[in-house]
Order: sequence, then C-alpha cells, then structure tokens
Amino acid sequence: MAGAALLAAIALAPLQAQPGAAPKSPVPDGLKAGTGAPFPKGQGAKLDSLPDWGGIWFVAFSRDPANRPAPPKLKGKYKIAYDAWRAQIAANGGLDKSARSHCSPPGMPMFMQLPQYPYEFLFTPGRVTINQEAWMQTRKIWTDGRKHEDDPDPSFYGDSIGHWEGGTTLVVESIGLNDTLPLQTGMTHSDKLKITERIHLDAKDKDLLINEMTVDDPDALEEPWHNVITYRRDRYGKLLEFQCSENDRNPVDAQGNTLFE
Amino acid sequence: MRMKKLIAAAALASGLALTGLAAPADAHHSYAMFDMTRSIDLKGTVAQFKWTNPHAWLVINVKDASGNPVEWNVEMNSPNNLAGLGWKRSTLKAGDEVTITVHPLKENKAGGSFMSVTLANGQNMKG
Repeated sequence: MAGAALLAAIALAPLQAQPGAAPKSPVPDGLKAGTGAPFPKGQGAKLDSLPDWGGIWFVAFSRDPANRPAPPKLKGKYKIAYDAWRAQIAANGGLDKSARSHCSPPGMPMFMQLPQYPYEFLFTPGRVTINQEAWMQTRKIWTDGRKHEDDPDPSFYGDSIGHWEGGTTLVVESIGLNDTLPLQTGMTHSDKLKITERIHLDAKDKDLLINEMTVDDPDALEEPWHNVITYRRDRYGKLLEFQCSENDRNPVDAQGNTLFE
Repeated sequence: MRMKKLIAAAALASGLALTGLAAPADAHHSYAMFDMTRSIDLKGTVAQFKWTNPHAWLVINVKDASGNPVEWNVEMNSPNNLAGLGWKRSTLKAGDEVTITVHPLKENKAGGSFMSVTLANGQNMKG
C-alpha cells in the first residue's frame, strides 16, 4: 500500500523534482570552455606554487592607536541614517535595534573582520574558498579568468573574481553586494558597492596574514575607505560547527530588541 | 583579561571605538545588554553546560537570600576560544558545585556574561 502511494506521489511531483533532471548552466562569461574551476583534473600541480595559507586564522588587532583606520566618510542619506543610528544607541545605553535575526550573518565586507571565530582558506584549481566559523559562512573567489557576471543577483558575499600577483598576493574584486546589509556596524551602502582586497602573508612573520581592503561606493562614500585586517595562524586548529538556530539565545522581538533567553 | 580585549578589539574592527560609543560587540551580537563595569560572584550547582557555537552556555542553580534555588543563565565565549583557555566539553557537568563570576544583565533578570569559574577542586578557569 505504501509503495503504491509513493509511486503516485512521484508521478504527481513536478518534472524538475524527479530524479534525472540536472540543469545545464552556460559557460561563465570570460571563461574558456573546458578550462578553469569546473575542470579540476590535471590542474593540481599548479596549486603547489601558491603560498602557504594552511591552518586556521583568527583576526588579530594592533593595540597601537596610530594603526587604527579613520572610519568611512559617509555622505547624503547614508550619513543621515548613520547619525540617526548613533543617536538611538546613545539614547539606549548602547543597545541597538535590529531589523534582522542575529542568526543572519553580516555579509561582506564585515565577513572578513569577524573577531573570535576563525577562518580557513582553501585552494582548489581556479578558485579560492574562504570559510568562517561564525554562521558557517562561505565565500568563493574565482581565479580562473572568468569576468564578473553581467547582472549578478545581489548576495551576502558578492560576485568575487581574483588573480594571484607575484605568486604571493591574492587580489580580489567583489560587486553585486546585497544593499540591506551593513557597510560597517550601523552603516548602510548602495548597490554600487565595490570591495577590493589584497591578501598576502606578512613579509616578516609567516604566521600573519594581511588583508588590505578598499571599500568604494560612489553613492554612499565621499571617497574610498581603506582598512587593513590582520589574521594570526593556528596551524592545527579546525573550524567548529555553528548551527545558529539550534542555540539562538538572542532572538529579536517584533520591536527590534535583542532578548536574552 | 582576554574577553575584554576581544570586546575592545571587536569595537575597533567595527569602527565603534572611533565613534566614541561604548557599545562593544562580538561577531555575533552586542554586549550592551550586560553591565560590563560590574561583576558579581554566584555560588551554585551546574544544571547544564552546553558546549556549542555561537556561545557555550551555562545554567546554574544559585540559592537566593531565602535559600531558594534561582536558575541563572550565563552566556560564555565560543568553544574554539574556550579550548584555547584549556576548556573541554567535559570541563563542567550537571551537579558540579562551583563559584562563577559574571557581568550581570542590566535588566533585573538572572543572567550574565561569563568571566571565570572556581571549580570544586579549587582550580580557577577564565572564559
């Protein structure tokens, strides 16, 4: 009886949900058919010429006040919104109203600035994948020569393409960033946001990784904003799981207040 | 203290320190709900120790002035950070008699942000 019911259910399921229906995506713009990340076989040896970014990495901070970057110079409605946010925080003893769940991650660029939870950098042919323990986030950077998509769907981590410079530095450019996410805490940005990163090991300390980031938004910023993030290596560490909804002690209520349960 | 450095560091990363606002934040959420200028000691029995992201979590029964047990909920650091301070999933378990130090919640509720614990054997561990 159960078998007949199952067969009936499959027959009624939409065609694309039935086994055997795999999509046929087109060749990405700028990628030569038959090459790059979709064809890893035979490209393994090339990975050996890339730098050693093994292990896991924790954001490290300089205690020298001279090393702190100046904050982004917001303009127009973005500055007005940020000033209003600051006023709200000051009036509420530091408490922030949240429009989103704390189980929702911040996206780029703050993805690269998260203290407390580690990163790992994975190299595969034509691609670099960056995983972050917090919210189990993952970000992919295509290094196989493909171009940016014509009209990328706005996303948390963007459409990221990059290349290796001098065998040491990963240069990345990201566009197509969801404009409902923060530029920095309390700040917003437009859909024109573009983030450029130059990531490389420190010249003197091979267990330090440096990310020179430039954040550009002609609508939201007076000028491009520069920030340098440093990460320290934990060679034998691993990323732990982060299943936020299984341990969400800080739900956000209908008024935007963060609770403690 | 390591936690304070993480908080100050997080504020730096997010640019909050530059705005002159005292609203420290870890990667997950702000610490503004706790009174970070104050600490209190709680002596009690562990009801539950959850070794999980985003925050390890401690539920501890503490006797109030009348001797009635009050359940306190205490937010801790992430397991990866705690492991670096010598913690394991088995470091605390239900039934352990401990004294903990926390930054209390600003609102009048039995909760706080974990600072350190003294175990039954006298060992002190920071979190």
